[in-house]
Amino acid sequence: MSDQTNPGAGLHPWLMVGLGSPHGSDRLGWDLVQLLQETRPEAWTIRMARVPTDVLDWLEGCQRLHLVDACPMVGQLGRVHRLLWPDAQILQSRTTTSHDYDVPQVLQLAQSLAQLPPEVVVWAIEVEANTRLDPTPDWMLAAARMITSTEFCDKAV
Amino acid sequence: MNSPDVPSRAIRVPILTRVEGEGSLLVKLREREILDVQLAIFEPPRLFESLLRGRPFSDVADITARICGICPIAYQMTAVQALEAVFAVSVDPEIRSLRRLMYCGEWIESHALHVHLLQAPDFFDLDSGIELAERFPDEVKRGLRLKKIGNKLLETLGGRAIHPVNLAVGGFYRLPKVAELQTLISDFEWGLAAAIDTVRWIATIPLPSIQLPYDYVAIQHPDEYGIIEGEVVCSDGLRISHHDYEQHFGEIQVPHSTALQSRRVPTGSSYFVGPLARVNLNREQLAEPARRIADEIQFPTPCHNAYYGILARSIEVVHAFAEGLGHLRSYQGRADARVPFSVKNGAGCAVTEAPRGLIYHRYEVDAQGRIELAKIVPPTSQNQAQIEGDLRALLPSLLDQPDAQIALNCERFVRNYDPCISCSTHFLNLRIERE
Repeated sequence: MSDQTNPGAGLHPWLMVGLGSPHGSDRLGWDLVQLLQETRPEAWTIRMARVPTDVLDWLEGCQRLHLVDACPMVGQLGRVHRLLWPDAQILQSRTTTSHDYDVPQVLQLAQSLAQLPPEVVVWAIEVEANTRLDPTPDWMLAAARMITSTEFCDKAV
Repeated sequence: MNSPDVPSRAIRVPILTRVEGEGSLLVKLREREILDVQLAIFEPPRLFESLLRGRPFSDVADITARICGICPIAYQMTAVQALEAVFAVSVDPEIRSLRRLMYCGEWIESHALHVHLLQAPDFFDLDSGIELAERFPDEVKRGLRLKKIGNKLLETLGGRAIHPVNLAVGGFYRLPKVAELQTLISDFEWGLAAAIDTVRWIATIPLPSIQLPYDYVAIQHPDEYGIIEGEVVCSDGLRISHHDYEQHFGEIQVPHSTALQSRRVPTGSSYFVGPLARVNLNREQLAEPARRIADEIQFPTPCHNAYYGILARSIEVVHAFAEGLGHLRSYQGRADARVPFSVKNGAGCAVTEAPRGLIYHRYEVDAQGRIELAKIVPPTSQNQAQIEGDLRALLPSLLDQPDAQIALNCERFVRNYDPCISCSTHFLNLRIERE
């Protein structure tokens, strides 16, 4: 597993970040961007973050920032939500997090520092706390296909 | 006097914010009497020590890195060094230099984040780093750039940013190329100057005044600022080999917490680990730029004000950049990433200084190199009893305040310790109960 599949030394104009942790199904964001690595057009950089504040390290020169993260299941396991900043659902998704700052806070912080890219999308995938992710479940493959077809094909590079 | 006729009250912080991990705080009061203070850690035990049993020694660094997403290097380094003690491995100066460099990266990343985003907002009566960024954009941007440099170094040396994989018993799996480290020199030169400016900025902030009788504990080394090895020293004069750690420090269970609490043995007293302990005990061994800025801002030593932790942390960022710069400039590269060793049965222990304080690991290994016993004592479990004791001392000065303000002030005080509750197995909620 690599967290930086095409790192380069410079800027990441199109950046997709998997957010996660090693705890239970919270690793979903990491696993999902690993799957996306296989369909990623060259223009996209894919990274994994331990904590949302890691994203602040990578915003210089970034034009499109996509975050992939697990969210609590409220309807159907694996349901994918594409939320465009500043969608109210992002702002309302404050969580009790084992991280220092959660996703909405990090995006608000970046905004207050005028560092937020023009396009920010949060991909939230519904999952239960201890859902098995290994072997890769069909719903996760479907989520990867949805992100691929939405971002990697419609906006061909 | 405790009177059953007088109703008591409970003040709760149900989720302590801007700390790592999840926990809560309960304060029970009857009039002006403090009945109880409980720093409760309710994250479930993660049982890493049991998980390691039966595993090959080579798995230990990768597994222990999972204890903490914020400071995995501390766990890996301590584990690796304890296993090196088992196998009588002695690493050479160049590998040792790279290990200290790696630790500098983790201190920079962790401290810069805590200083700017987790704690500084408290001293301006702001709710978050977002508000701080609106008021002090340049300072926050500077802090985030410092953090970024720490992460960049960790990525270079650790192989990747999350759960680095490069530390190995005997050295590293892969050594960096000279050019990889040289590209970081200009960042570190900027970082050193920026870190000094950060200390000057933090020193302008009026910090609350409190004096408490702390028993500081840290690693001390005769030749360097104690980070990856040394004797364990206490401000009461105790000086021991790390081999004797368990004779002088023991863990106990408390009903309100899933994390063990460490106490001094035999007194059962609490103690204080972390940047403030280190700067108090080892100030003279700080790198020269860090010592100079500590003198310039007239950092008091001894310092018994926990709020000065933010200054100690900032001074350590200067140290980490200054020391790291030296390691970067001196690195010549080499062919062998690891020194050879033979697996054998035995026991070994190690202590290092994680960003939040002293960390101790001990392992027993069989002849095939499988782990028979693992003992891991993280910094926050060592500070837990001290935090509760501090709050008992602090609370009398807060009791005339509304409960919500008491809760806020307690939460802010806890952040002095930068507790990593996930590490101690283990966010803070605060409850105040008034009978």
